[in-house]
Parts: sequence; C-alpha cells; structure tokens
Amino acid sequence: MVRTTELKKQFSDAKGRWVKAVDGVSMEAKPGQVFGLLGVNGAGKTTMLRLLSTVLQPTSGSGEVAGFDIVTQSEQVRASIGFMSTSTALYGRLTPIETLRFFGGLYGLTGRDLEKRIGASVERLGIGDFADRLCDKLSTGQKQRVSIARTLLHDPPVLFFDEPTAGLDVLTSQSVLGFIEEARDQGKTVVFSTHAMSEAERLCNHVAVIHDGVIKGEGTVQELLQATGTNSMEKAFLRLVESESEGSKAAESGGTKNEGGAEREGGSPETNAEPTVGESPQ
Amino acid sequence: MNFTRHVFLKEIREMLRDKRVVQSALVGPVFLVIMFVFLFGFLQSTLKERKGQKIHVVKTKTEPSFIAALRKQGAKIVPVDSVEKGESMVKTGDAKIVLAIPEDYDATVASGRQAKISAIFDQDQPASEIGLADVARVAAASNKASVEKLLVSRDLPKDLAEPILVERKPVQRKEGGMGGFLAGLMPYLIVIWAFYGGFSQASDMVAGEKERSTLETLLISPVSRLKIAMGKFWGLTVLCLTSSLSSLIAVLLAGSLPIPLLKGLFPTGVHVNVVGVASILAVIVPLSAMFAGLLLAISTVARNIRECQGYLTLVSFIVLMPAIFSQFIGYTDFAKAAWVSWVPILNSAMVLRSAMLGNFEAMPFITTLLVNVVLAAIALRAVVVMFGRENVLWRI
Repeated sequence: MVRTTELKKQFSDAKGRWVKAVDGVSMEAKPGQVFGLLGVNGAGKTTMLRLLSTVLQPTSGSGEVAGFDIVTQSEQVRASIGFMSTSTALYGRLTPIETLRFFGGLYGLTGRDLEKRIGASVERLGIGDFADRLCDKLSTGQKQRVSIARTLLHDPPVLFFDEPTAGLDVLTSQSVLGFIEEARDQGKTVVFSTHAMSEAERLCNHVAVIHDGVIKGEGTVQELLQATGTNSMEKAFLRLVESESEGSKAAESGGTKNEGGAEREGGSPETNAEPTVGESPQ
Repeated sequence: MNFTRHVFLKEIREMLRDKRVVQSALVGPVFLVIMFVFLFGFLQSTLKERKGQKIHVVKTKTEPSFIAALRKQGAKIVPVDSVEKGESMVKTGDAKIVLAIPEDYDATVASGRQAKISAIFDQDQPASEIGLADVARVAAASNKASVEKLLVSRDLPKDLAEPILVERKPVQRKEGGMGGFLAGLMPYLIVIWAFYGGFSQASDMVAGEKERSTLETLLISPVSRLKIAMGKFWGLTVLCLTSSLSSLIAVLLAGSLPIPLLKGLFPTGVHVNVVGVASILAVIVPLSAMFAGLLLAISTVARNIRECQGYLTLVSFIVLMPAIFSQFIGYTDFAKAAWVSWVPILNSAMVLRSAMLGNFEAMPFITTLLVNVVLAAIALRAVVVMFGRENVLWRI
C-alpha cells in the first residue's frame, strides 16, 4: 500500500525562486494494482517518486509506504521498495552478478539466500549469457534486464517505476512492461510514472494525471474518459491539462482562480525540466 | 552486515578495474619517483666528476704552465683566437668560461710577482659559475704549491702556506637515514602523492555517480547515507595512502639497487630506522584521511565530473604551496620554528624529513599528528553533513 496526504515539496530553482514541484498530492495505491502517474516532463512525477522512496524530504504533508512513514521510518520504507527508471544506471566496472551481489548486500541479503535469489533472477531474466561481462560492455536491453533484476532481487512489496521505458526500443519496452504486469499479478503495489498514454491504458488500474505538481484528475481509465467526455486517454489528458492552463490565463487576466489551485511561485508553469533542488523554506 | 565495509569493498573493486586509477595512483608514483632518483643521480654524478669540462683559453705564443695544471684536473682546453671572440662566445653560450692568460705568465710567476689571469664568464649561467669555481680551485692549488716551494727553500714549515685549515667533518648518523638531498625531495613527493593519488578517483566517487545516475540507486537502498559516505571515504583513504606509500617504496627500491649512478644519492644505502618508519606511517595515515575527506567533500558538492575537476585543480595549488615550501625550508631558519608544526601539509613534510634523516622529535610529531587527525575528522564530518543535504546531492 502507498498512501499520501497533502504531500508537498518546494524547491528553489536556479534563480533562487521557490517552485512547488509537488503541491498537495493525496493518493492511494493498493496491492495487486498499478497506480499510474501520468504527466508531461517536469510535471512532478519524479519528485513524487523520490519523495515516496525517501531520498527527498517533503516540505509538508505525509506519506506511507508498505505501512511505514516516509519521514520517520525512511530506512524501513527503502527496505520495502524497488525503484527503477531509465535514468538510474549500473556500475560500469561491475559485472551483472557483482551488481546483484552488491545491491543484495545493501538490502541485507547474504550467503546462500542471496546466491539463490541471484541464480533465480539470472535465469528468469536471461542474464546468464552476459552475467560475467562488465556492465559497461552490455547493450541497453541487457542493462535494463540487470536493472530489473536489481529492482526485484530483495522481493519488495512495493515497486516504483519512473518512466522505465523512456529511450528504450520496442522489444525492450515490451519486456519491461511485461515484468511490471507480472509484479502486479504477484500482488505487489506498483506506482508507475509515464508520459506515454498507451502504457497507462495497458497497465494501470488507476491513473492520476499530474500537472505542475497537482493532481488534475484521477480514477480508472474509463472514469477519466467519462469525466472528460473524451474517447481516448490522450484527449482526456489534454482536456485535464488544458483546462488548467485556461484557468491560469483567466486568473492572470483578473478572472477566476483555477480549480486545481496550482500556484508556482516565481516559476514558469511551462518549465519542463525538473527544478534544481534547494533548501525547503520550512 | 557491515554496510560501510560492503560499500568500501565495492569502491576498491571498481578502483582496481579503472586503468586511470591504477596508473595515476600506483604506477605513476613509482615511475615518477624512480625517474626523479635516476635524473638526480645522473646530475649529481655529472657535477661531482666534472672531468672533460671544456675551458676556453685565448691563444698565446707559448702554452703557459697553468694550462697544464688545468689539463691535469681533467679539463679539456679549447683555444680561442682573441678576447673579443671569447666574450662573444660566452654571451652566446658557446663557451662557459674563457681565460686570457698573459704571454709572460710563467716569467712573472717565476720572478715572484703576481700574474693576473682574466676569466670571462656569465654570472647568470650556473654552468659558467661552476667553470669559474673549477679554475679558481686550480689557481688556489697552484698558489699553494708555489708558496710551499718557497717556504721549503727557506727552511720554513710548508703549513704556513695555509695557516688556517677548515677540516670538513660530516655528521655520521647513528642508525642510517637517507641523504640530505633525498630527505628534502621525498617528503614533497610523499605528500603530493597522498593527494594526487586520490585525485582521479575522487571526481568519480560522488560527482561521477551523480552524472551517471548511479547515486540515486545507491541512496534508495536502506543503508544510511552515513554508512555510504563512510564506505566511500575509507576507499579513497586507502587509495591516497597506497599512492603515497608507493612513492616511498619506490625510493627504498631505488636505494637498494646496486647501480653506480645512484651511489652518490645513497652512499650507504637506505636505512630508515624502525622509529622512522613508524613515524612516517603515523603521519601519512591521517594525512591520507584528511586528503580523502577533502577530495570527497569537493566531489559531493560538484554537480558533475567536470565541475569537480575544476574545483580539485584549484585546491591542488593550495596543497602544493606548503609541499613545495617543505623542499626549501632547509635553506631558511624556519625548519625548527614551532609554528611549522601547526601548518597543515608543511608539518607532515617536515616530520617525514626528520624521519628520513634518522631523527625523531616528539613535539613536532605529536602536534602534526594532532593537526592531521583533527583536520581529517573535520573533512569527514563535512562529507557526512553534505551527504545528508538533498540540495547538495541533487544538484544535477
């Protein structure tokens, strides 16, 4: 189970202005389901996942992962999660087997238990042929398989996937999505961030559209289509995001305040890149 | 499980597989030190022997006896047509020294009068100064021989030719020690290699992990940041220490080789005593830890490898200053000054220098040890604090 209540994170950008990267997000992801965070680049998806994985501290609000508080029980949270994204790389001068031994050790796995799990992962993900080759020498697809093995090695109940297929070829992407489905079917709680509508439609039991750090709409794919009066996720997404932009324009010209209430202090709402991390004002 | 040790072992494994690290931290110091030793051995033996040195002499009708005396000392005489030509050759560097000996030199000396030899040399050229010193030495020996001859002919003691004799009595160290020259050079090399040994790897350890996005994976593990930082810190400390010790071992190796060229540098071999070795290690270990902390702190602050290397280059100048000064401090009155023991890096170099000369002085040693341990602790604390700050770690 993953649950957040009014979770907020503020950063200072390169010019020292405060930006609300995540602004009061409340969500709940259940075991055996894939919870999709759908948004454009810079919407706050990665920050959200970093907050949940406790590598960033929230400015305010609360969160719970696998029954542990993300602020006061951060080590237990990290022990209960697997995290994977295309941006997280492998150590180039270690082999896949050494990588798995190293990360297994970090999760407290040792001896025969560790070797047994490594053996199972190697077999399941077809790593055997290149298990003793340095990761620097592996193809992108091979690296991704090692990353999946690393993510699943300690059999965590909660999995976070941050745009795991970005930049991958079709075959590798399909393979990654297949593992996510498998994890879901095993009863794990999966939080999956993407900007690919087709992936959200295929995988997610529940989708939250996030924009400027605010959840603009959430529900099953069908519920979102109905709520927006559209017939595709792409259109539903655009409807949700554009209504926000129009609201902002109206507010700027002295009109009504937008429903989402997203206020980016000093920052541009169109900013795509994740902001630079600074000290929280609190 | 000991997570610090787990991270440490992973760092060591990665280092050993990185050719740059092996070359710069292990092969580099050994190669450079041996090259230094051979170069200085060659220079020393060349300067000591000075046989076959060219001395230019303005042509005369008959060859003065002074030229025979120069030849006897191994000088190679090269005739020059005129004084003007000789001056020109000295100016252009074609001659180190040109002597103009008067035609009546031998007659003047025989009559008991003073004969003047003009020596044309370039005071800005060390080789020219050395040539002049050689000529002056031959002249002094000739003078002494003439006076002795005269004294003996008048039944007077020939010691009157040199009424004051300064007898050179170099101190014999009880338990060996390196020569003074090496004792000046080696601390510098050991100190800078403790720093430069970790230089290439430091930028990879945190800034490189940020750049390659491996740091995030590491931080998402349940291991505390303190343990991750400590594992990296000890890994870098071992690298700095190994690099520093490599340079020391290289000198010991060079000193034990039976090579005639190095005889002048190691006249009695290398015999640093047990106390010397213990004090060298006691100083190098916290010094390496201090450098490792400093390097790692810089790597943690930097956004990427390039930024890190920029900062490291600036810091290396600060490290080099006291290290370079340690080479020349023997020529000043500061070597024994109390404040030296409080200046980081310089104090370590001075303790190493003493140890290599076979000396051990408690106060400078204790002060240096204290300064190094305190600074290493501060550097480590800085790393740990920065590892806990998300605005530092996520400045990608």
